[in-house]
Amino acid sequence: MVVGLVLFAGAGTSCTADRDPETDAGSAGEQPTPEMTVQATVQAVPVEVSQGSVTGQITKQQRKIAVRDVAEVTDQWLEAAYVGGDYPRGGFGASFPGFTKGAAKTARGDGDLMTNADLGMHIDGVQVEHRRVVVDLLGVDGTARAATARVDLKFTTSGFARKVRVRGRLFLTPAPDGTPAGTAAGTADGSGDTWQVFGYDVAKARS
Amino acid sequence: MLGVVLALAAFVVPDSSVAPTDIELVRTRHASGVDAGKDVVWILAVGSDARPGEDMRRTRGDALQLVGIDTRTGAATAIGIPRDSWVSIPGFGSERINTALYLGGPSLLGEAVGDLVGVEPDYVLVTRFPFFEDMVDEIGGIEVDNPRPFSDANLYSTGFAAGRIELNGYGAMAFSRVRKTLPDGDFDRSANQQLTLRGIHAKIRANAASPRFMERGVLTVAEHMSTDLPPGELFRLAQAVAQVQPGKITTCVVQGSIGSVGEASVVFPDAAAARRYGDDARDDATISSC
Repeated sequence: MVVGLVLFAGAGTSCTADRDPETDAGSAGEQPTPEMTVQATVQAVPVEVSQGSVTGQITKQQRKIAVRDVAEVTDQWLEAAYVGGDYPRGGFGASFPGFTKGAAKTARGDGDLMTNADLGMHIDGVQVEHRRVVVDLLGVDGTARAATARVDLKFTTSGFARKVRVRGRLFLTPAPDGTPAGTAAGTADGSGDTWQVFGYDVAKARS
Repeated sequence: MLGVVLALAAFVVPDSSVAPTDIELVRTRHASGVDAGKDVVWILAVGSDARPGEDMRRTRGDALQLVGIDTRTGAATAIGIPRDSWVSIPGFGSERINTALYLGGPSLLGEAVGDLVGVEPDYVLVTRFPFFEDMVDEIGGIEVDNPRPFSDANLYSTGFAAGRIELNGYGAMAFSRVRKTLPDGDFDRSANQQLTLRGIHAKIRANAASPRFMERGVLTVAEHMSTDLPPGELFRLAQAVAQVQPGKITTCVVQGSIGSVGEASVVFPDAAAARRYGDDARDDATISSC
């Protein structure tokens, strides 16, 4: 089931207790503006989102919501870390919106891989070839309790021409503090959870 | 390496001016990490000897392994504790350490182990042997490197050959329980339990990327283990386990002397060694030497 969502980077970036402060700092109190949305949309190739495996019991409605919300958090990382923003640039510290503090800290340590930090200063643009997220869900009692986002992002760079492919998995759970629905990314209709990335297993290949 | 690639390119594309090639040198790198709430997570894994109908949280712990995982480095350690270790149990005086589960449940057992090793477990996971068998079968069995042949007339009469052997759920249970026919009894059994844990870890790591594998494992654990952990937290722990690197696993068994208290045969554990293991591994889940 390919949902084919177009996700807008920068939309709804409210904080939760366990969220990464460095990432959140840049967007604290900042409301998404039409300009930001348009800019991101123009730069981005629509992410193809599909539901992968579902293990355990989750209602159809909850599946849809969870897939959408998990994909949005995942795509925010792809946008912040690789696709979006101005190039050339060397700052990638805010590349992990939606990551827990601990996961963001570890990911920063893997910055050359988990972001475009290895190329950022040498390129002037990114052209996405494809951008896919497949969401596997674990459910109990009708609700999604954990998710694995399988990511496949392929792009070329300009200015310093390279082909790059990022593939792997992000691991997510709903925020432990039960942050009310509608307060975070991907919950614009108020019916979903706040999902956080607590881990990753990612490979990056580049020519 | 570059030379080899270029030589191959020249061979397969004799006239590159005619046809541009798709051959390119690609560098692939890999990174992983899991935030499990702490840099080093400690889990007390307990195999209960509960019989059918008994509450496994209020029986005796037959297998005791204190497992530490450093989520920053992928290192892990297991400290095996002989079940008959004679220790002080908070609020109950001196008893065999496995009695703590019967007397006060998983949290008291965690306290007793914490007092012995000097590291308090963050989680205590209790299972009973039939459920353990199911879990091993669920992941398709395991392989272990068995250092010596042994058998047991009651549990596994065909015996375990030395070397790399495959075990199904029942075999893994028997491999972890046989004691009497091992030269160092309880100590060797504890070491065998650690080999079983290595086998389980290897299976998890090899299949972690397969859709449903981790999710099914979490549901099975939730179903078969006594734990108050919500599924999401179990999923975090499971992913932390999957990130452990086999080459960074260290294991030790707390040694001791065999003796008796009244009519009971007990182990007087080497408490200094237990503390040393705990001190060594507390911050990085690594024991430099047993």
